[in-house]
Amino acid sequence: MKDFHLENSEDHTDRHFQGQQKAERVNFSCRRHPVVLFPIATVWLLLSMVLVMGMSLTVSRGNFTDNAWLQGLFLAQAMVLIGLQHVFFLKLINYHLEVIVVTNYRLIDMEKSLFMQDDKEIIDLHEIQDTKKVQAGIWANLLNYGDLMLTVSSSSLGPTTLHDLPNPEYYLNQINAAKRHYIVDRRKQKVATTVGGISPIQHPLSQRFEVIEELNNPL
Amino acid sequence: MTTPIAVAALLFSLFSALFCIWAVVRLYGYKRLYSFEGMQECHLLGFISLRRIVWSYGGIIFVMSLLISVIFFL
Repeated sequence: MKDFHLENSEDHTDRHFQGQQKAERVNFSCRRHPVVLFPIATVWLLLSMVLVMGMSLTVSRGNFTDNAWLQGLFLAQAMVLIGLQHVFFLKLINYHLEVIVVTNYRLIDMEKSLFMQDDKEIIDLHEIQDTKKVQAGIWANLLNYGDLMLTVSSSSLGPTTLHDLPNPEYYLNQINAAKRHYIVDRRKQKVATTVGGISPIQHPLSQRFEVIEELNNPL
Repeated sequence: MTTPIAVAALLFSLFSALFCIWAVVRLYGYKRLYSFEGMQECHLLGFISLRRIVWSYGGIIFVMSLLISVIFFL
């Protein structure tokens, strides 16, 4: 989790991620819980141990240099072992590339891998209608991770789910706070476009001419 | 000993090392996408940084490729 405290007046274009807008500030970013790496880490550890033991036994045989079958067996084990290292480390790197960023305007879910995937989903904060936290199961409650389901007004495909977030309660509150701030900011911007906080259209007819005069001569 | 198996082992080692270099080059190309420190110096479980993962990846692949080549050619 990363918190950002930046000045409003700064130009933030492409500052923290590609596509960031000028007045867009990053509220926080997060990744999935490390527990998602547990299955691949277990397989990697166990299989690596077995393969290293197998390779040691193969080489330690007295006739390894003369026996083509033993050499082939050793090479096959080595190929599986090296392939396993590639898969494991690419999974670790891909884990770091999948990021959720929440700014003062929108939520960006980036699902990216080095070779296979490059997805990006952007949800405007004002489009989020409901947020729901799902933290089911013993491990999810012990290790404090879970899913956040966001109901988006413009989507007809059902809620958008952010899977396996660490400390989902915190992020639920953060997203709600960001949404509230965004709505308040939009209202302030709308009010700021009027003079004195009141739109000329909403004025009584007697005051409307004064407001139009102010608009024409702001100083 | 220069047997077909030894040549295959050498070629596989070379291919593996090149793939590793390609992956790391692609990863560093992503610096433009995630330009803030939180994205680059991100930590897994509080202490495993992406930099350490990349160095471990390169180191393990390099050592294993070298080991296979040594076993077959010495």
